[in-house]
Amino acid sequence: MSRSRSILSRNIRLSTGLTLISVVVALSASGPLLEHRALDQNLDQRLKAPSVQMPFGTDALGRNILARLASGGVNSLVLSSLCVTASLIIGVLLGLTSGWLTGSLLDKSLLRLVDIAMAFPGLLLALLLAGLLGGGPAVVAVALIFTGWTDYFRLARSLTVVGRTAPYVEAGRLSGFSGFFLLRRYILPKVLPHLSVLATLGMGKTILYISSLGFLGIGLAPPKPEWGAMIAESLPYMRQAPHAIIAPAGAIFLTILGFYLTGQALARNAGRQGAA
Amino acid sequence: MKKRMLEVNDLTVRAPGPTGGKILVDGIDLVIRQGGLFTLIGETGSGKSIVAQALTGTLPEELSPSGRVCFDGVDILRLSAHERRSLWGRKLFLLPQEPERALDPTMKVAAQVEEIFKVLRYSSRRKAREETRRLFARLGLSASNEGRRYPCQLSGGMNQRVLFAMALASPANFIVADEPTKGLDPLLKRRVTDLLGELNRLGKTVFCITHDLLVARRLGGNLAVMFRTRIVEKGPAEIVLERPSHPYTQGLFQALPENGLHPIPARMLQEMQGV
Repeated sequence: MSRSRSILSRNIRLSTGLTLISVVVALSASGPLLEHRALDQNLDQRLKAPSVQMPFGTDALGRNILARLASGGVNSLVLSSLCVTASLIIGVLLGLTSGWLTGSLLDKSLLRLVDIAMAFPGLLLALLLAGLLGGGPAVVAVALIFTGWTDYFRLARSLTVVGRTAPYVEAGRLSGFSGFFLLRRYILPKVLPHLSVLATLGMGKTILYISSLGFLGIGLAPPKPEWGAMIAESLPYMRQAPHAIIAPAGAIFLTILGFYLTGQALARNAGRQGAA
Repeated sequence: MKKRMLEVNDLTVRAPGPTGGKILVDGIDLVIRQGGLFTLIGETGSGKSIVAQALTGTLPEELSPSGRVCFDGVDILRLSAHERRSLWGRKLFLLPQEPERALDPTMKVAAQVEEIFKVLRYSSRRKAREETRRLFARLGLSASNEGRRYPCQLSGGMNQRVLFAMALASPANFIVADEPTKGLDPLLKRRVTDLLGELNRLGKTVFCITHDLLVARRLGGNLAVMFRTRIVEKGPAEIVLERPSHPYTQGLFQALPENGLHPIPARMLQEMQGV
């Protein structure tokens, strides 16, 4: 406990990043409570500047922006953790298998599949799918998972390729351990720290993607709040009410910054462990 | 007479190449009895490691062996890769070289020995812990102190002992040690040699490969001298070491520091090659 605290105080990136993430999570946690307020329209109160009652003011339909930020935060966080977790699981399982069976037909076909998946820009794929199937969070998730698992796959695979020739893995094999056991006990524990870094960075990236898609009108259907969609809705009133854009844009920025700083701090830590 | 654990008949290994390829091991015969201790001694490049690989079924794919390596009634050379794998750890245990590298750097050493009990003997967690504690105590380690450390926190000698604990933990009765004293200082060399003897006393059949006459002398048991792909002399260690009959073995003795460090004359080596 004391050890983790000292690392925290020493590492300013990590503490800033975690603070930002906790603020966003805390705000989002109050989202479900504020849900009806996020949808309540009050046309007398349109485009009101920030005040004590409404810390972030109101939007073009007189809705409380703070409530909408909180409510939209839940959607972004839940959707992006879902995408990242799914990508991570797919990437790790396939990456370990592929790396263990380097050079096999399975490995080669998976690598080609990764090439294909990487050739698709996530945003364009989402637009394409939305055009074919109609929008909605499911379409966003499918598109982001399809393009997102490749990073985890490639890292997991290359770490496995390196790890499987390590003398202690070889020794374990000669001690009679099965391939599955070696993967689980010897390789996976060395792969996961690196992947957790990638996943933290991936959270930030995915939130940015979700917001961009929301801005383009794909994802949650209005009037449900979504940060990117909030920016799009307030764009025509940029002159009169800049706060209506600054608030969601700031929320996106700070969330991504939080995940990015945390990811970077974890990466340094993983690097230090790897060097030791 | 005890049961034959391992019987090697006319084992020949060729490297790939035109006109049949270079011969790496030339028609060697060996018998190791259950509970025995056997040392194969030879210079670098004499083919002794290839013999170890043939015995454990870890020969590189490109080498083609012929002859018979009968282990516990089955010919290892005729087994499929999968069948050979099923022997590892269960019937035979290959003691790895370089203990620091053969242990998982991110797992505590006691846990690594416990794994052997859990996976190969299907022991419960508690039983595995108890057995590991006992083995550690027998090898002069403490499960609650050294056992809770990572390989990088232990000395080479301690890691070596952890590997011996793994060999003892495995249900395998046949332990192959390929150059177990490679790169060790004289003191450690002696300890490792004694540990091999200890393994043998605890009921394991030990097959040790070395280029070190002193290790062979300390180990005792049976001995075979390998020179340029062939076994030139074999018998009980004390007899071979007391009265070497082959000129190469005699030469080796003349080359020992206490016997005056006389190199084996090149002329003699060439002559022997022709034999």
